[in-house]
Amino acid sequence: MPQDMPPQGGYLPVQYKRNIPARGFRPIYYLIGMHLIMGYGYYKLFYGVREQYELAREKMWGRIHIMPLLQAEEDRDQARRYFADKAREKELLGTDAKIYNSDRFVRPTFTYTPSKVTQ
Amino acid sequence: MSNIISIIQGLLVIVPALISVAFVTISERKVMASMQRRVGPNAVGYYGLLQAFADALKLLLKEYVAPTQANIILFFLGPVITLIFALLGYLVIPYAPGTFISDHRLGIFFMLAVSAIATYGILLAGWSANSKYAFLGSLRSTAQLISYELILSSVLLLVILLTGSLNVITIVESQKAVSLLLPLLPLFIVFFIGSIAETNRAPFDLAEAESELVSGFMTEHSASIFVFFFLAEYASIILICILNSILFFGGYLSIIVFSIISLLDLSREDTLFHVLISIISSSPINLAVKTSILVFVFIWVRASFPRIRFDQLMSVCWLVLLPITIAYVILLPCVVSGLLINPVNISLL
Amino acid sequence: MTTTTFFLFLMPILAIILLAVNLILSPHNPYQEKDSAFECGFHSFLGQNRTQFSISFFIFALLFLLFDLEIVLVYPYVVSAYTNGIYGLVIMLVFFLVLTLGFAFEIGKNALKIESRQVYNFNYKSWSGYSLIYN
Repeated sequence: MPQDMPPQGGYLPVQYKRNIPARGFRPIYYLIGMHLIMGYGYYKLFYGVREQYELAREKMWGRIHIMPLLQAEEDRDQARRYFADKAREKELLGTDAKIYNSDRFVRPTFTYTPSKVTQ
Repeated sequence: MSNIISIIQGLLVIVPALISVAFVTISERKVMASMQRRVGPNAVGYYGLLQAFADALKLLLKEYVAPTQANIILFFLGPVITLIFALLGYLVIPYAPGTFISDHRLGIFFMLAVSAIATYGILLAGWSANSKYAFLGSLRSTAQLISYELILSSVLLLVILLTGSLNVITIVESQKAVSLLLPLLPLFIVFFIGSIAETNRAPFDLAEAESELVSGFMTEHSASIFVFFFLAEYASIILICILNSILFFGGYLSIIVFSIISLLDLSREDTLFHVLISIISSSPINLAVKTSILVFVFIWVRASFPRIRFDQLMSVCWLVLLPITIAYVILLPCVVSGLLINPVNISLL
Repeated sequence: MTTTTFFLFLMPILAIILLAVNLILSPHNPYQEKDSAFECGFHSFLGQNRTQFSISFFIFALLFLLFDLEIVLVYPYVVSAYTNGIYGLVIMLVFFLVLTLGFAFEIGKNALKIESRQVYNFNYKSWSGYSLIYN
């Protein structure tokens, strides 16, 4: 008695994929719709980034305009530190000591900071 | 004093994260039960709300099995690494204006790096167990994670192109004009698919395909080290949902409120209504709602789609998603330069 | 100690605490059958592990390295696109196009294909259009 064998050349491949009828629009319409939404997004983004540029410009010009004020602040602070330093040296050494062999003002390259950080 | 404050801050972030992990597991079981027309857990606590805590406690009291042929140190180290690096990502998340642990300039890079290192945990755990199921699971998982990480990082490239900063807070704040979902719609879809695959979720959970690999890379793991994988998986799901909502839905900013503001043209700024609007428009509730919806979609996807084959998984990543992403990486810089809208980073000026 | 530092230390501490709780509280009663590798039969076979695996995994890792490097090299452009202008854009595009050509070459060489026995069921005439994805 012959054995149950597969047919000559093997079985046909099994079709796993179901043939479901296509629903909805054709893919190209989805693609177009998606890019229309993206286009609207870029429209909004355009104005958003323009506003950002404006804010950046405003910030930069704000900085430029208060630059004299900032410079004055820094000069005042420098002078205060310089004279305090002088006074401290005089207190320690007893005389007005000069670091450099000239009377030219040399901008200090260091600052004293308080030993204990407040705030 | 400042030490105590920082400890409280750290706990304030991590304890809700772990509790939300518990509730995500319970919500997953409940949602999947509803989708499959059954009840789901309903015995522990009201409506089964405490089921996750009961499970975690039970697992912590279970016997740990350390297989004799396994590499014991790596065997325990792998899950620990996975958990640590899944939870570290919460470091740079802004929950509300001024409410974050670290406002790092390279926050997005930090998140990418941390999620990349979590791969090592899985690789080590699977390799050290010295079981062929764990080994194959970890190989598959690693291949999948690194492939899809490529997708995520290249989509992130475009997000950064439109926001101009690697800082997470700047990315959120620059979406006040339009949430990046609109200009990056196809890339959001790609990113979402990538994030499902990156968290090893169905239909991409090939690493733990029960029908072929028992339980994947965690076949040999039991008790608390299994809890680590469990926690890490759900923590990374929540984290990546938060990342999705931050990158594409404006994070803690409320898109609806901003559109109402722009429609009504609210010129007076001192009314109580305006104060209320400004509170609602950037509150952590917005982030929570967006993240919850995305987590629900994760569960929905798991309940809806059958698992795909591994070669299909890799083909979808490398032959479908990556070419799409590369095409947009080439296209969008040209569009942005053409419209002259390269973003400028105000905080660096 | 800043909050960030504390957070970085908190995670390992949390993991170690959970591990310690488990190791202390749980029973531990091993015997040979329990501690052997999991297998769907009576015995596990030691020789089957840590042997060869499919070369595809290695190729994917290699390609990941290249592409991740590529993406990371483009990151500096996107954060400085405002300063770089069209010149930077052109350089970036040239760089990216060269790598895209390499990618097309890899696809053409079938480097990104994992052999699967089930694939050959799709060698049907009417399905040849899907060959890019499923084949």
